[in-house]
Amino acid sequence: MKLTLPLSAARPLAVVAVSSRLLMGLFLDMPWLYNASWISALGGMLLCVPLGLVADRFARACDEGSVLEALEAHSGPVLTRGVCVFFSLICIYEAAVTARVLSNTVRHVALSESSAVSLLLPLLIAGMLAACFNGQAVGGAARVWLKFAPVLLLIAILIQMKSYRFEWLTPLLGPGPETLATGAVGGAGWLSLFALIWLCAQRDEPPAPRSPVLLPMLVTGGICALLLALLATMAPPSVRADLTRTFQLDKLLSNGRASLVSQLPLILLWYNGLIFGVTTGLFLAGKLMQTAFPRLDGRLAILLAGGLTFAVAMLALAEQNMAVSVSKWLFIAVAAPLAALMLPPVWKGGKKPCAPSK
Amino acid sequence: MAEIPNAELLRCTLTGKLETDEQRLRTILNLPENEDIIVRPFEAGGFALRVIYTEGMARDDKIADFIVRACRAFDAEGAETPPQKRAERLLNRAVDIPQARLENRLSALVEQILGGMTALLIDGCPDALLMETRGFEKRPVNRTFSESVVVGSQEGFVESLRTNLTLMRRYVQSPSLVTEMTTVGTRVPLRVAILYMKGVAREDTLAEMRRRVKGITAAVVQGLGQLEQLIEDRPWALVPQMLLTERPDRAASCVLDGQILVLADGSPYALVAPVTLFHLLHASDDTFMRWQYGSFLRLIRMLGALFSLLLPGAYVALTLYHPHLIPMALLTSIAETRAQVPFSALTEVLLMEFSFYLINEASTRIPSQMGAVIGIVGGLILGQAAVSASIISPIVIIVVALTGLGNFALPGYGFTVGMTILRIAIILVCAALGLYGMILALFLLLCHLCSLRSLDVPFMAPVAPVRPHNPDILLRLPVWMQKRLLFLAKRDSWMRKEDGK
Repeated sequence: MKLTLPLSAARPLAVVAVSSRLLMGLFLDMPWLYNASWISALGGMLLCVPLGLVADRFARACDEGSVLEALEAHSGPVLTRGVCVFFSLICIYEAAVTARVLSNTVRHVALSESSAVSLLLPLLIAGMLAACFNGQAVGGAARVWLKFAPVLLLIAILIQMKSYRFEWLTPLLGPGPETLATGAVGGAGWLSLFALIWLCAQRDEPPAPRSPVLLPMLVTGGICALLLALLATMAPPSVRADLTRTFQLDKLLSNGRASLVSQLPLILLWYNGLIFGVTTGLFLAGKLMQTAFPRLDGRLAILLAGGLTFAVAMLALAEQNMAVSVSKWLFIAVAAPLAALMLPPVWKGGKKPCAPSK
Repeated sequence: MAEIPNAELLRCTLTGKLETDEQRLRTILNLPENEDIIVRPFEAGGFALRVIYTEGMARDDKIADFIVRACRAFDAEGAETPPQKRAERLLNRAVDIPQARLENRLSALVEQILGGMTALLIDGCPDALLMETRGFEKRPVNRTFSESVVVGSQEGFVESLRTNLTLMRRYVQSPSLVTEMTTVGTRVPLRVAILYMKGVAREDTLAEMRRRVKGITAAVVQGLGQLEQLIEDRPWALVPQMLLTERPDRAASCVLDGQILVLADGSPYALVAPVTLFHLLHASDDTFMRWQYGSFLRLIRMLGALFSLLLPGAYVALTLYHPHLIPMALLTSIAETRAQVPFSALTEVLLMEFSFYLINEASTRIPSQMGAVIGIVGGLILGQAAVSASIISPIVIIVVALTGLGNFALPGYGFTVGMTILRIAIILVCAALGLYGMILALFLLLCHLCSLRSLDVPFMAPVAPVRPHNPDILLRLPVWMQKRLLFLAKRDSWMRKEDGK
């Protein structure tokens, strides 16, 4: 089975998966950003602009069809396949972190006596089955989810209307510029996953969008920054608080002010966002593995990705401290190989008039 | 594989020798054991003839008046006609049946005789006459049984293919409505008709439908239900990917939108493809009413569908794992009513679901004279008595009742059974993992629906993938805003609105 992801399906999938990863990373894993995580999100957005510009340029320069095939044609199969293996490992790691957070959330909300295995396995099985339906199906599901998510978000925001205090956004640079910059680098790393999703897509609808990477990336980053700012206005920054995922989860879902009934929209948003994140990670990992090893069956690739994700999630590798350490290097790990592969053909010039001529 | 009986004979054509041809047909039709196949010898124009028909399928009066008597009137001219031209001459000068043709293949003659037509064998002529004399008893056009509406046509399809085709012709009076007749079943053929609007239905979709129908290798196909299962894209999926409708007005609406119909002899339904999930959720009277009423009722139906799928699972999840999400007053009430019940919430719900569907199934099979018993059993015994005995709590009865009502608000019966199976799966998942399980199950279901196709058209279109469409998915906005042709139709079709695309 060949794994495919039409560009029209990749866009909504990227928005859902990347936004949930960014929110999860900045709010849950970096609580020391306190109420300024939205600034890190904006900073991450700015850092990703060059990557987005290069990706858009490459998209205009290359021919119809799959981006990976175009990269292989320009840069050679050895280099491209090596990079694909590397990126698939990144996708597996990110899927494992997201799966771990989701299982922690479930345990916190209701199933406190369940083991990690009993929470991770159903998630990974569902993710693998969904990924086996192929990219069009998962992307289509993301598109449908994007029609419901804003309604749930609006309900969640309206329920909390009386709780917002904009003075809790200050001081703006409370954590300090260095901490915010670290957060911005992490945010850029998670936003750069947008480019990874685009990498695995193939054009399916003429005319191709003028900005397949940069514009959606900026919009997603902007919306996430807004949501983080809104979250910040729901509780005052507390430097004495326990800086763990559990505490942040509790703050996210209840904040101590809203009634317990009103948690339901947030729970639905959070769970679905993370499930899409895990499924996207599994699908991308499988797709990249299949690109690196063309004879590998798609289903087997996804099964391998699922197995590795489970292993990483069960070990301490997906915990908060490890995830934060990896996030510092994620942007470089994604942007550098992509730039190395895409810049030469862009500089050389392509067939399209938009590409710079030599 | 063994051949059908008399396969060798069936491959033959008429010889022109009356005795030989008659004997061959008698062998194939198992005469004299088959006493309802009639062979009537007579003479006209100086040569011998045989009329062969099936008693009860063909009309005796038509045979007597328009064939036998008409041929006898041909007496004077018959002697001048060369033997090979006798059939043609009788067709042009004697026989008064509007639909008649020459035929020389034994297989075609046998098939049509069994279908109600009459064959006329002529001595010395290698052709026989095949004449339309069907006149069997059939159910008259009546109200629909499974797709009732308040506003709109009350006619429904019947078991006769001819009548159903006539109904379609009445609703779609256009020369572009094409009816392609074919048969399915390699051993016992079933007559089917493929209907479409030429220039509106897509050529590739039509070709795919023809390929699938003609590719059926089953020995016998007993109706449209089996045909659907043989040509569906994913027969293992719980959700049907084609629509079965009992209503000619709905079928007409579908064919005008570029969809393809299949009608079969003996089936009072039309099979419509390609369809999307939204076709399964829409009812035909949505368009007959004002847009506000149609939209409102459609929303109610969608809510019913959601209740049907999720309400029991949500009840189990919330009571077992998330009681903090239930408002305190309701939680107290549930706790009080469940205090004496010996079973868990899961057992209660499954027990009531099973009972509900047992009553449902029994009421379908029960003889009409005993129909009132179901009301007594269902209402009093299973409802009142079970609550009084503290076997189940009253809130579960409300949950199951709302679920059942939501289920039956859906237009298609087949879809409701699929929803029931999905609902039970969701209940079990909710019992194991609470809301987490429900969300996982819904996610998987959504991805599955997005992966389905109907005659190669995405099942969740025009939402995912996006296709240009009229505002008629969730809400049914005014008719004057429905300017586009359905995306299933041919892009540059002649069927365009006066002021639209």
